Amino acid sequence: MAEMNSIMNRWIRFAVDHPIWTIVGTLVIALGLAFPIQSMTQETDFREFLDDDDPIIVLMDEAEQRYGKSWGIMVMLFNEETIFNDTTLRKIEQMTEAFEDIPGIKSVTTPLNSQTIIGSETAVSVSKAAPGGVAPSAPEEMEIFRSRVLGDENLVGGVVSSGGQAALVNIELEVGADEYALTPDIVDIVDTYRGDGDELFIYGDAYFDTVMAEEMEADTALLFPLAILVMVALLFVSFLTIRGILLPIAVVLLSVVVAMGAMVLLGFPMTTMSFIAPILLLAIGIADAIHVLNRYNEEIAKGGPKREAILATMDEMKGPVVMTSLTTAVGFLSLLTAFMVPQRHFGVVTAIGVMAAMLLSLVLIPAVMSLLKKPRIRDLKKGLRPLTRVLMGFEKVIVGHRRTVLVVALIIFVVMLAGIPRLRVETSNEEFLGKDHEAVQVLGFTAEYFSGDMNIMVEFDTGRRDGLKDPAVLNAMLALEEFMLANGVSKTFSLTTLVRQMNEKFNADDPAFYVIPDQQNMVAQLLLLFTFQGGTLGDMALGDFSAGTVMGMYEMGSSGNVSRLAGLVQEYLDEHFPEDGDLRVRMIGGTTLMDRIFTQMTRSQLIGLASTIAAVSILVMILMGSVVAGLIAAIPLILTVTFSMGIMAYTGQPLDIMTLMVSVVAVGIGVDYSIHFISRFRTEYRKDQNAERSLQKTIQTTGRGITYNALTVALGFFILIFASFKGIRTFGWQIALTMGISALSAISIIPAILVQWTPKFLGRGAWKRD
Amino acid sequence: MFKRAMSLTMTMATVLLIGVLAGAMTADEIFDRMDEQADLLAAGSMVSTIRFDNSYGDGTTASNLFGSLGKPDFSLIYFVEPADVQGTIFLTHEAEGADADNRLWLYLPILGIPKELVSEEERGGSFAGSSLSYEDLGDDDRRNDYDAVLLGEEGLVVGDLTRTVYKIESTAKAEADVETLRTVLWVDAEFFIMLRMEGYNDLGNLESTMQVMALGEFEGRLTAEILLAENVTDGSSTTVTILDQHRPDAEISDEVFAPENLPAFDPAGWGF
Repeated sequence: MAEMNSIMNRWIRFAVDHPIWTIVGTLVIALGLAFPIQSMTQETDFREFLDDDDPIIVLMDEAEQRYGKSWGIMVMLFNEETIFNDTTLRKIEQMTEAFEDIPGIKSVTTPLNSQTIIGSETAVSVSKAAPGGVAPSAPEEMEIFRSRVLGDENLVGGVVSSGGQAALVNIELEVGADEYALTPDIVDIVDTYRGDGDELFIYGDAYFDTVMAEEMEADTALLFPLAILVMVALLFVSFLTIRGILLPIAVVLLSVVVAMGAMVLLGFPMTTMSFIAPILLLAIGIADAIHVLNRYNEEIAKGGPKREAILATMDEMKGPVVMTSLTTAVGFLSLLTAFMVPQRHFGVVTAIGVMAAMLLSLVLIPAVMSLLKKPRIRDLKKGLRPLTRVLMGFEKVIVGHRRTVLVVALIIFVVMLAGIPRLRVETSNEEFLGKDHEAVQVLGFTAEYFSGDMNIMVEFDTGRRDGLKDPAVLNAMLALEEFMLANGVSKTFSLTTLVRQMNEKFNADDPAFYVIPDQQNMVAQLLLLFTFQGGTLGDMALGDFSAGTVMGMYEMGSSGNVSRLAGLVQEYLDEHFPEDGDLRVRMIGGTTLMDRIFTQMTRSQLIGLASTIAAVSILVMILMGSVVAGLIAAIPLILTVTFSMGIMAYTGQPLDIMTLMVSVVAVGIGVDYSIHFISRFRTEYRKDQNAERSLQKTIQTTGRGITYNALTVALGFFILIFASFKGIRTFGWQIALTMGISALSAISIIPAILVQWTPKFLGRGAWKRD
Repeated sequence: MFKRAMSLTMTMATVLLIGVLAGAMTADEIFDRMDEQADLLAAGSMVSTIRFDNSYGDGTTASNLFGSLGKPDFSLIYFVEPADVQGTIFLTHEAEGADADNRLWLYLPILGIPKELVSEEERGGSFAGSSLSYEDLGDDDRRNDYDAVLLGEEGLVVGDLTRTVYKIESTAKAEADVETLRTVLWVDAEFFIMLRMEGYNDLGNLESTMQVMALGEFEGRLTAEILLAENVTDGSSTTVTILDQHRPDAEISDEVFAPENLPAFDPAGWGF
């Protein structure tokens, strides 16, 4: 510890004595790290949020390798009356031609060009639902087309809604196609066909990825400058000097550059979580600079030479700055225990930014201060500032009623703790994007008019060639489909439908033959007939028919619904397909992924939160040389976290991928207030061993800093309410609220405890001076 | 020594001669010569036994054994393996007019009746689950849909032979309704059979390849004995092996190719 202290002192002295070298060196390093930022990548695929070796990802990769991956963009046309009109169908036809001309588009499937199979006594006919894929114009042609499409169970719920009000255009992309480059062309085409009573919606994974990436960029472009403006305004109010504004802003901007540069060098992509890191760093990185400048002004007010004032400032502040930065960094690094990869990346990047802000505050600020003239300082004897007066009054009340304060805090803690079991977890798109987001509205439409926005997939693996052609296996698949349909699934897709259909078609469309044949040879020959018609089995079966899938589509609704269905299906599988049976039947696909995220996220996050509080408290114990100090510092944190979660529980706000991080961030930042307060209180207490006078001095100085800092951080985060994603907006206001609670706890509970019990560590020196 | 020198001289002379000829030929003329060669093979009746070994992108494999009968305007494919589709027959009557569609029938033995497969347009799907499409198997509209350019000639190793080939690049015409926008063909300079083909999509990515892996001889001409078709996109491939190919003693009767006679088809009579 003493060695580290000595190294820091040497750095600080070097910075003060060689300011130009220090400033130039700092800028060169920052610019060096700014260079890689140009090659930053973005990642919005939910699947990439989990580790490559996560069992579900391994399972999904294996499934994708076996059954392929459909990758595309969908355009939905909705007409209040019917899509079976000349104008709407003509639009579909023309859009199809335009889409097909875009390089990278593999195929476009619409109600017009979807294949329909018709069986007769002598022939099996395969044709496009509309001859040539051309929109019918004559009324009788339109009626034939309408009844053909609405009479085909493969098309209803697939490319047309059962009521005929919505049509779907499926655009499949080629492998390697760049969805970010393709999407604008598709959007342009769709935009030209809006109107005439038709509502057009675009969706699909490839489209959402592009939209999310665009919104992230737009949000960053709006929120980052806005956050800087807010910081500038607050710094102006706090210091009333140009240097008081520019110096902290320079420190945080450089720390953002370092963090973002490090992010690229570490190979982390920008995600919907990490894109808020720059704004967050602005808000939290500024704290050290504010505290250092505040202290410098105090030293200058004493009237000594500038160099001595700087060295005295840094001598006094390096301890708290290092401690607060370390604890904040540890808080963010605790996200390394998080289940989701972007949370871990976010934690690492923010921790790097916090440490960069610390180093810059300790080195760059003294260097710049030594170059500038001594600031004009308001004479403290002329009277206290309004905020200080308010704080002094507040402290009087706290000290006067310290037992009551502690009892009230305890009651709040218990009440909020009691609410936590009511907390629910939600990972749905609706929760993150918000009900009003276009993507959510489209998904709602899809669920209403088509088969749903979520799939559940079950693999049947017979382990033997052609095993899937066994009628017993097909009937087992069919039974599962019936179970799914009875439990919330809207539509199922599997070989069973295909085999039954081909049986019916080959028997002159006789509905009596819409059954699974009882001979394997018959199944094999019907499937051969299907492939002879140009049909592809896709994810329904492997090439050798040893394994295949049953896929069900349903409306996701909420994470709870996903878990409910996953649980029901798993129970069914456990009951009907024991592990030692002939068939290996298991769930794969989207539902499994969501269920895994849903069940693991909260658990890992709560473990992470507990370990963060423990780690931060231990760090404070070590740095302050006192177990009691660590425990006292932890009290406001525990209260803040409990309050934050309790409020969410009582207001019905769910925990999601963003709000789960609120507590961790609150601990990381909130502990700074405890450290600054305890540290200053102890410094003052050591002077005359009087707790009340020490408190007055602490409130006048550190109390002000904490209040301004909390205000800065809260406002910095509050800016996130202008974000495009609801999850980010909620995260913003919750952090803002939590920071307020955290600061309030630090300046009320800690003084109440310190004045009430004046623990022994206050009289000991832990952070040794040279 | 003398023999080796002579042999070398002859080889050089042959290569030079082909070079001179190639200089005088256009891509379209090479296609004409390919058609002529194909017509020679297709003239008269033919009995073949062919094996398809399919390897799918999902890591699984499957095989088919077919017996094939062919004569101008007719072809019949009889499924020998796998056992569960044994006896299935795929019959084609080639269209007479340029704009007319071929007529296709499928006979499923378990149902005992042939059904005509009526399709609005030519099929782009795979043939019996292989990496070969109907387009690959049938005549194509190469000259109607593509502009071809002879890029030059080079040597191509096929099995243990090195063949001199013409390399031709075909680019789809703007109005052509084709999936493969660019193909590169390697055509044997002596026997005018395709030895290798690469197909590229509209992003310029390689999508499919076809290459002759082994050459055989039939009626004094070089023919493909083993052909490998690969779908680069999904990782599947099909190896086509011509196990037997011969002319029957007499022309195959048209009756054999009548749809109503399919239930009575006698595979043993043709050695299947």
